[in-house]
Amino acid sequence: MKKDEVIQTRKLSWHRWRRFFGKKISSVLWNSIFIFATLIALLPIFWMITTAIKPSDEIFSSGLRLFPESPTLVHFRTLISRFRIPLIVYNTFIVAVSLTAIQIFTSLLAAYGFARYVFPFHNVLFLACIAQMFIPIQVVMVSNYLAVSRLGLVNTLPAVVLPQVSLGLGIFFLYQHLKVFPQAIIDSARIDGAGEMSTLFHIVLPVIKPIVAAISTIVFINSWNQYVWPTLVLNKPEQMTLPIWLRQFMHAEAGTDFGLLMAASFLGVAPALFLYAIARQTIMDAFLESGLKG
Amino acid sequence: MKKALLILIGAFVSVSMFAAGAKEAPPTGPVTIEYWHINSATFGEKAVVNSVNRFQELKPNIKVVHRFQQGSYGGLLQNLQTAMAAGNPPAMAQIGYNNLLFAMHELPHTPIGNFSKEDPQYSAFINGFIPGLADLGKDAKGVQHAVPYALSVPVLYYNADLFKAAGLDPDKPPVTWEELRKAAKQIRDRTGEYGVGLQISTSNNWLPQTLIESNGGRFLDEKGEIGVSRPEVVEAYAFWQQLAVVDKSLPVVTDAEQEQAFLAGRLGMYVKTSASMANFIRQAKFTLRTAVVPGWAGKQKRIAVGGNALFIFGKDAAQQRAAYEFIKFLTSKEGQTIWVLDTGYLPVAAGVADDPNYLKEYFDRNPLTKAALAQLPHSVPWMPFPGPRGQQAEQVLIEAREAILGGAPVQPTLITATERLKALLR
Amino acid sequence: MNRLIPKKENLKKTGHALTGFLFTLPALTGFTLFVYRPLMETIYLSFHDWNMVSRTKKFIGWDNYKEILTSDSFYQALWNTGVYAIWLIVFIIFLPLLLSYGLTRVGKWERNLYRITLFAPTVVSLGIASVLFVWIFNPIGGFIASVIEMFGGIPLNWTSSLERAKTPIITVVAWKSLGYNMVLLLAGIGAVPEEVKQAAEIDGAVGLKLWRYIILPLISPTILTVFVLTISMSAEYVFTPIHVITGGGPQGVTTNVVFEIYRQAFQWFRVGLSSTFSVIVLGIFIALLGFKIKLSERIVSYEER
Repeated sequence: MKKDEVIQTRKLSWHRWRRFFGKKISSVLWNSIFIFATLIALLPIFWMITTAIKPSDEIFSSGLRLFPESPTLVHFRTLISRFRIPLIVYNTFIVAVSLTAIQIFTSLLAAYGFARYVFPFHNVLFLACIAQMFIPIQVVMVSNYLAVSRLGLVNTLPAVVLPQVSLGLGIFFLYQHLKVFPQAIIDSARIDGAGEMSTLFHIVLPVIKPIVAAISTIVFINSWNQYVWPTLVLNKPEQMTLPIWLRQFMHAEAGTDFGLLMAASFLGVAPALFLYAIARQTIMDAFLESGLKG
Repeated sequence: MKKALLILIGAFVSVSMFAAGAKEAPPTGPVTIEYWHINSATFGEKAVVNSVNRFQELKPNIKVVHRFQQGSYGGLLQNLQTAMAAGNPPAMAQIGYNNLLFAMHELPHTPIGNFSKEDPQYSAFINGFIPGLADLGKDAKGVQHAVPYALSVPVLYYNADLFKAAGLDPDKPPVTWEELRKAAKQIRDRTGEYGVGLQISTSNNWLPQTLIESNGGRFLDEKGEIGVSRPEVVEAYAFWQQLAVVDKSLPVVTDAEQEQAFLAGRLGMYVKTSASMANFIRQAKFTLRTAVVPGWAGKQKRIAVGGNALFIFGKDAAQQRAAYEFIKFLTSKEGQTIWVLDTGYLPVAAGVADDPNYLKEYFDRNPLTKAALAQLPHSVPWMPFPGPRGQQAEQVLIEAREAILGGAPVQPTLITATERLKALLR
Repeated sequence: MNRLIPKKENLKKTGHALTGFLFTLPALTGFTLFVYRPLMETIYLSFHDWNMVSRTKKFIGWDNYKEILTSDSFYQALWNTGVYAIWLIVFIIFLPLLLSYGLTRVGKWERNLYRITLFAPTVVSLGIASVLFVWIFNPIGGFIASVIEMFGGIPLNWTSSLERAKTPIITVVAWKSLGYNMVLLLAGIGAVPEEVKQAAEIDGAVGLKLWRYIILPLISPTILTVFVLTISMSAEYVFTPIHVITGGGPQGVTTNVVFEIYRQAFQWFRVGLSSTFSVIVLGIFIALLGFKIKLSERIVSYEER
């Protein structure tokens, strides 16, 4: 073996060695960062769950001892015997699905319109859409309640959905992605004779499906937890949604019943997390399908 | 074609949404009234349902629909204001005592007193209240706008285990604020745990009123002058500050935090509303005891009551009449028995607590609530600042308290607060 | 740097102007009826004294504007909102970006796990999250206090301290919203075409270099969305923890603009004043958006030179 070659091999192995261990070290470092972040993310949820299975008199007396001494399902049993929980979850689901579907639909149309067309007052109208993100519900809710009640819609699903058909965030986010959509694809679709709507829904949408899925996830979770507006327009016990339901365990005068509150919160969080786990798989599939990687 | 498709989709969306919201069926039966309350499933809903059912048996031609409102009295009032602006208020509702003046002067309602001519039993109804209590629903001119329904008073809750550990006698809870201070310091020194917490709120001055008025002070005196910087008020706030700053026996934390600390067994005494009793009994692991709220040595106690009063907001005469009937039932001995048994509020009806047919057995069984009952003779109306800026004025006092407990000099802080109040209330 | 508003000449004229307008019509109708119509009423009310229930609305000209612009609480709320915004930018924009990079440095199995655990907090409602964090930050027997005591330290007061009261509020919002922004950012990163990444890698752009020169510029539109979203969160999301944990105190150090708007209308019954507050705050936000547009135009033209 020639001297040069030896050096070459040594160099190579040194390089490989460094790359190999460099990767290892960085992986260990990152994993510890993520484990730390995971602990912070999960600690409150963990406390929620352990509190839900603690007897009432153990909740605060146990200090840092996170695990209950004598675990109990009494809070869950109380909740299940007193409330129609499946109905409450169903109501929440219907509200969240309706809101998400309609908001994503209008946002997609509007974002496509703004991203791909020129028309008078284009920029002013676009700014008006984004500005909605900065108008708190407290500013518009009284006026909207009057409108909804004049239409005779109080205590109906449309009362919840109608004032929220459009969403600035949805338009803004989808706009940013539609803006960079390759024009060539659209042009070729047009040559094939596809109409405006069919171009959007059959050509463009399949490609940006993962993006739509991501924003839908966020809109869905937001709708799932929506409280201020639904509590104003839904007044019947049989229309109760999870966020409204949860509030009754926090009572200003009588104090908070933590066992029940935490058990109820868990019942509210679990379906949403379950849906996310399912949806994530779908989103991943959508990424693979569309040639993007998540 | 394409545009037509777009329009079609738009139309479809709106039609399908409206279709989902079929109109409600018109009310059946002679009169249906809506009753708004704040009693959630874990606090008093059972009492509301039982009252409604029992009333149905007594007056079959009045149907009461009860609607729970989220977010306590503030939440109820918010929804009530919105419903009123939309022109469809409920026939009757609970109004928290802190919003009593606002409701009397600003919300369109039918004063209970309007029925004095119509109803031959009106005076019997008003005299059925514990003497003086019906006056809580009167304004300065003596008009009976509403009647009290839920009644709560501050109570001294204490941890008997911590008392023992600190060498204090759990059978001799402090009677005066000075004794309370000593006991609190002893707990702090001997056990290392905090001695006492006083209920505070970020939107009102309920307990401070009791503290100040029992010392002879007034936030607003009879002549309508602001008394916030007078010696009696300064003295009471200075006392509070000494607990926190000098003795360090009172933790300067939020109310939710001191409640958790008390339940965790790390706070010796806690002056808090009697409405929290059931919750404390359920969540405390230590020996929970109660006593009457302390007073100032040699001075007459004046205890501000909390809870709610019933108002009639219905728009037509039949609704108002029906609501009046339901209110009479709710405040009767029978109505109060249903109410007190489930909520732990104090009864407003005279004689019901000692009546073996009604609540005697309950009070015998629950010695803790006796402490609360013993306070009633000293009760006075909860008096937030009046007028359109009254609630805003409460905030000035809250911030003054926060500053004082943070160590700011008491008198100058209260003088500044007085100036701000003058500007607001003029 | 990205443009908020598209430049006209950059828009590809895919079809007729009318078609484009029709696409935006459903959303614009919703905004007109349920956002801008109420907002007109708000502007009208801002010149009146009204408690929401009385029949008369008293016209008082600019009095509400004078009252707000001369009140300390207005500037305090504005300042606090800015402080919340800055901290949230650090915690829910920079941190998620860093973590997204980190996700490419760990194994596939771990990556999927971390994505779920980091997302989990977002499904908890802000109200419940606030209650959970009351316990965590409670200086007497709360989680942080207990850990400090275990090591022999003296627990800090958070919610009632003038210096530290914002910490629990920021923590609640950051804890809950980090996952949101992460979902949006990861979607943006996922949308970077594979060919671009491969081409860059062949050119020697790997690891951090790939991120600095390829991925970050390509996802800057997403970052812009997340940025605007975060600013709006510092007004709206922060409201709930303020309401549940501190009620704006001590001495107003935790209040923000939305909490003031809420408090004036629904706690103090001063709807006119609250409307004025909304109008002024919205004016400021729109001015900032406009400033952002001007700024990005200058930067873009510099880059395009």
